[in-house]
Amino acid sequence: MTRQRVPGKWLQWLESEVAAWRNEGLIDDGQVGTILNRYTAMRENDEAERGGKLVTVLAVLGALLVGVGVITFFAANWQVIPKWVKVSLVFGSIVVSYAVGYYLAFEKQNYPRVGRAIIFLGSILYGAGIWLVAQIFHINAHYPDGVLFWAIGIVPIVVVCSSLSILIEASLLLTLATILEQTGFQNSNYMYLPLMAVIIILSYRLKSRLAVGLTLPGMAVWLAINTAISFKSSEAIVYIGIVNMALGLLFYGLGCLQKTAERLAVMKTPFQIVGLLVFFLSSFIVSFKWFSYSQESFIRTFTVSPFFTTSFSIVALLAFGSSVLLLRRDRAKKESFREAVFMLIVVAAVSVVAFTGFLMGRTGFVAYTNILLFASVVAVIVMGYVNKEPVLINFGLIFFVLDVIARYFDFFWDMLDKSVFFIVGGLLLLIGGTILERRRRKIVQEMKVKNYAA
Amino acid sequence: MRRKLWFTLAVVLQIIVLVVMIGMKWSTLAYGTKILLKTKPVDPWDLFRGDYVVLNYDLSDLNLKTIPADISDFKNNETVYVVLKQQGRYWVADSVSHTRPSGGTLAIKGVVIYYNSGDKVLNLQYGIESYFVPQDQGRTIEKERSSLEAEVSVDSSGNSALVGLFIQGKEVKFQ
Repeated sequence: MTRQRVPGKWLQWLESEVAAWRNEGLIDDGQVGTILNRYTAMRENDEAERGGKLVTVLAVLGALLVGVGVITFFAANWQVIPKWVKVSLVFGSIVVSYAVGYYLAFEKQNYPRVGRAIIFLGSILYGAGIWLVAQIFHINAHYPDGVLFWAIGIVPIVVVCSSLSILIEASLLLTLATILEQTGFQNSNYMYLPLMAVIIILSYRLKSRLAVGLTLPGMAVWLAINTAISFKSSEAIVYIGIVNMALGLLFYGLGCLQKTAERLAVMKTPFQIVGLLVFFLSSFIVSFKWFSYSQESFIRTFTVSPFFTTSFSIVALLAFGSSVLLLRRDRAKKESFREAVFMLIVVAAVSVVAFTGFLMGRTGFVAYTNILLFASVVAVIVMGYVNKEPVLINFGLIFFVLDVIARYFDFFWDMLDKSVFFIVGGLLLLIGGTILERRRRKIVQEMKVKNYAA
Repeated sequence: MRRKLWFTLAVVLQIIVLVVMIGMKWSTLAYGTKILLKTKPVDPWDLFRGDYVVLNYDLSDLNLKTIPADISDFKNNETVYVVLKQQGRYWVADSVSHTRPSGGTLAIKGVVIYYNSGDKVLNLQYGIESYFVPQDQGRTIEKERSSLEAEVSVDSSGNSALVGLFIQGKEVKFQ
């Protein structure tokens, strides 16, 4: 039987409960020892692991500070140093960092965490080296390439050392490179897609949910900027929202699918969380009535861009396909059935607004997008409760509150006197928020207890 | 042992990236033709940004009513070649071509930023528009911008690299 990790606070509760049971004569001293020993090992491991993680965090922060210090030192004395010395310093610092880090982490192995942090420092110095060489030789090349070469250059180190910190660094740099390329040069940068796929594959190899969770939003950003570029207008924001609603559903569906495969089940969380976040944020933005005006004028004045039509169709089809696959693979489980049905309905609803939204008129568009958002929020909360997934309940409630606040502003801002508006709004938030939070805690606690009892 | 080998190769790859960056510029500096370009004054608010100086040249905005081009159609981010000729101390634009000229003609490679087909003005960038200076030293250059000259090295492929800046014939050096 695999032992579940238990939180520290639960262990404290257990200790006090066990003491009470002994005092009431329900168990004897021997049984007290047996019960507490069963869980003490887990707490000790937990503490050792927390201590180890703390060392890693401190070492990485220390490495970052050293990196910043080195860069600052070079910057302060730069003008008096000859070119060849500057280049030697750059190369030397990179090679020394990597050599020392590798020695400590993999050869001597006496300070593995510090060694890995110094290797991480080496990757920072490599990036700094790219910008310093550009400065020394007055290279004015296409600047996003500098960030791209930094990201690509450190990927082999990730593969060899299985370094999570450098993988996250590469992921963030890749997202930055594509943002610079797309916003600075109006370039679609399709090369981002295979590079992002490499990062995701490496994240799976390192079994890092954090790395996956940080990389997936980059896809949403890439899609959003490309949609904006294809429309060449800021009014395209409603289409950005719609295509990212489909992308969020796709991520969520992929998360649900991975839950059904034992080897991939650990990766369901980042896909589901990022998927829900992207979906709800996008639907929330699209639900504002201001966008009904911009959408209508868009169809009258411009044509819908081929990029939007193609990308939305592909993403929506993949989302639809993932829910069909989920139904076929895991139809026996009610949980998967609910998730698949939820996705099928919402994908269909989003597709309707994507292709026929301009026919709905302003009122129709606002009503449709708001009903879609509200219905999705309620569905996710219900699914979270029935499937015993607290994260769904939390998400649903957050966006329920945001939706209520946004609609309050949308509909009552012009109708009420401003002082009355704020007083009523504040009271609703205070009372409603307290009730919701109590209810949410009760539901989540009930689910945890039931889970543990099972 | 295998991990050590792969790790070494990974580090060598990074060094190669930096060496290639340096090599491309160094080869242009070492083997290119040295030319002198007159810089144009730019909006003083844009001239000095942070720790580098923004340079603008007579070559940056070409009037195609007086300078011939092979095709009068230019797209943003397109690469073009500006054939150069010497006029006195400076080198100026002779013509614009979408393909690299052959026969040893000196031409500098540029990227189209914008083409105003109405006024027939072609705005180009050559990768020599920034000159890095120590902090707070840019003001010295800014004051002398009307007499600022740039020495640029242009190789046979049209690649260019900034060699140095000159004010009234004297090279700008920083202490």
